[in-house]
Amino acid sequence: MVPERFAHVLIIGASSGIGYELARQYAEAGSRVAAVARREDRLQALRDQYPDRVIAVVADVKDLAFPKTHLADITQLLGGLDLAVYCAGVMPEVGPTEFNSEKDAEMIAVNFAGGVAWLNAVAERFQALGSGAIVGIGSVAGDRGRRGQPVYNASKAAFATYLEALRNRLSSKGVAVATIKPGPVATEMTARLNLSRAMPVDVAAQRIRQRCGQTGEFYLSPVHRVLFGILRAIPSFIFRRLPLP
Amino acid sequence: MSAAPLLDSSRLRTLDGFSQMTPGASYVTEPTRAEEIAEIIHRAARARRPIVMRGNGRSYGDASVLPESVAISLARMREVRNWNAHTGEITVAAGASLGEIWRFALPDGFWLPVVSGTMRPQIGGAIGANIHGKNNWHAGTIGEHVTSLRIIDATGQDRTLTPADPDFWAVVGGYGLIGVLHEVTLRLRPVSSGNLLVTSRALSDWDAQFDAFEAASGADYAVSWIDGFRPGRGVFQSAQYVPSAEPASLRPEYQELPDRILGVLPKAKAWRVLRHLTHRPGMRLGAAAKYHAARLRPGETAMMPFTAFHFPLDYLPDWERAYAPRRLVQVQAAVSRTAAPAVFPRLFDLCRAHGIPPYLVVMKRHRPDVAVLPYLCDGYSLAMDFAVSLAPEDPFWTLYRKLVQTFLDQEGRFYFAKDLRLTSDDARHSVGIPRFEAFRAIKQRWDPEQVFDSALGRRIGLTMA
Repeated sequence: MVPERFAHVLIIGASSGIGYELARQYAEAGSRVAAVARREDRLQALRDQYPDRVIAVVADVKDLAFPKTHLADITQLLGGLDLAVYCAGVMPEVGPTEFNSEKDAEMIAVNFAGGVAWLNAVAERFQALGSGAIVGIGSVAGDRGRRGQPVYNASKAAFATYLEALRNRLSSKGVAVATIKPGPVATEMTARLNLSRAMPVDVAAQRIRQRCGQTGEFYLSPVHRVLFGILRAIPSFIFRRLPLP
Repeated sequence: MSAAPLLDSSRLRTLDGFSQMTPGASYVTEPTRAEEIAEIIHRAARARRPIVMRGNGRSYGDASVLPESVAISLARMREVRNWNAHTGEITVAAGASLGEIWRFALPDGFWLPVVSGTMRPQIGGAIGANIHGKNNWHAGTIGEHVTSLRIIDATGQDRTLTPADPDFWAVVGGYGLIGVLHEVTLRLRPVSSGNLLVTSRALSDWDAQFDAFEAASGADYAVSWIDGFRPGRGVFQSAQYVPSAEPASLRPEYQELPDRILGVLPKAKAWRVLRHLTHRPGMRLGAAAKYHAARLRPGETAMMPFTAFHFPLDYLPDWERAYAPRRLVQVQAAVSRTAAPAVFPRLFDLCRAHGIPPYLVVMKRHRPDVAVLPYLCDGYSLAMDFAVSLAPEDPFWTLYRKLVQTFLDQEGRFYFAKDLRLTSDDARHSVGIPRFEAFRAIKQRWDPEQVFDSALGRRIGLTMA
């Protein structure tokens, strides 16, 4: 078997969805993978399947001190670090007239603040070494502020802006930073939405892997690239009159 | 040592071998005093990190690499501590490079008794790899000229070893796995001139090569450049010290290598030009040109400064980059005098059968070395350079296995400083199982917790039970 280009991979938010599938695919391809998640039982299956390749790291991304303190231990267990992917994300159900600061704080903590804490720690290491790849999972939902999910949109937009800044800081130092903006993907997070045209999660993960090591912002399909390019270009005074959820 | 925590990300650097195929990130420390080394050892133990010794990174493979380790570099410990201009005995901090040592001693009429093909290795690393030169068959390896070593062991204790102590010969050629070698005393060779009389001869086949080495046994130096495309053919060079006094040639300025090649091309940029020649027709042409140039001037003797003869690798800085995006991989092994005439042609037959010619081949004459981990024998070595891609399945590695087996079948020995891929089994057979186990026993006694480690040590089974 040809070893994967990224021999040592860190996946934050690996207990379900895109993160789980990325961890599984990298382990399958021969990488050593550190899978970070809050729910240990979810990591167990991965570890059972690839006992030599998967390291389970039980941590809550809301623990903002954890990455700085423990990244060196994780890289020691992995034997190095070539790629870090931040996938953790939550999207609680928010009613069309609901303003719920608790749910909003949760989204800001998991979708944004946790990503900053983890990727700061990773960026510091990659900057010193002059190499490495960082990937953040944003969302097409971050492209506009919409009625249905104000803070989900805002947290993903904030994360995308942070990633752009990382890219600007690090691209001249040999570090690749990619922002991925998936559309609807069939995962636990989106299950209750009954999405008819959601992308299967294994396909999404494969497309994300093709972008790992590249620098830039990427949608997972050409249709999304065109569609969201148009949506982003619509002036706000028109956008708020459109019958979009 | 700076006040930053040992595992601070500001200390992180990617360390790699000369071949640039075995990178690993380490937390690099640069102590300035022996007490700081002991402190680093204690701090690394508390952080449960192994320590890898890092010199100037001139080993081809993973001898000074260990991912996620603490690296100790003695780059800031390089001063001359004692010098006797009558006897030529010098005491230097182990971070001093071979270049720094000869520049210091040559004006007083002394030269290093053994040098590698580059002057960039630090003396500590040179002893760790027990380097040899083109005078190996009579001068031995560098370790045989060392009179005393100071080494900080895994407990942080500073110990002095002399050649009378059996463990001395495990530090020599021990690849930094016994402890931190931080001071070296060695005896230099008196010289009256900084020039060598170099005789070059074009030789057309293997018989002529072996005859030339045997006939040159009274020379000071002997080496042959073999044409990888027409095996056996090559340019044999022997050299003698100039016996008369030439004080001007002892000045370091006289020895400095030119900045420009043929007076035009800046040396530092030469690899960019060479890059366009590192393909088979280019290398074939270069090798043929070298041979025919020597053939047209049979037995020509030229006066050469020491540096020009000894340090061909320093003539072209970063020349290994000429192979990019491929990498320079060297295979160096020695076999006995009786086996060599049959083994050497067979190696080239294998290369030809795989369609992978070596781009550069150097042949040298040797005597057995006395280190606990020997790599030489009474015979000849070949150092074969190959251009190899980073793909793990590069076809070269199939050929490599066959080359390794051909040497091992004839009790050949491999030079670990040049190696990337030998297995533990290969290494045990190369060294000989009793001496391999003797080294491991000494390692166990000095460093039972495996504080000092390297990717090489793990790969070939010198460390980790």
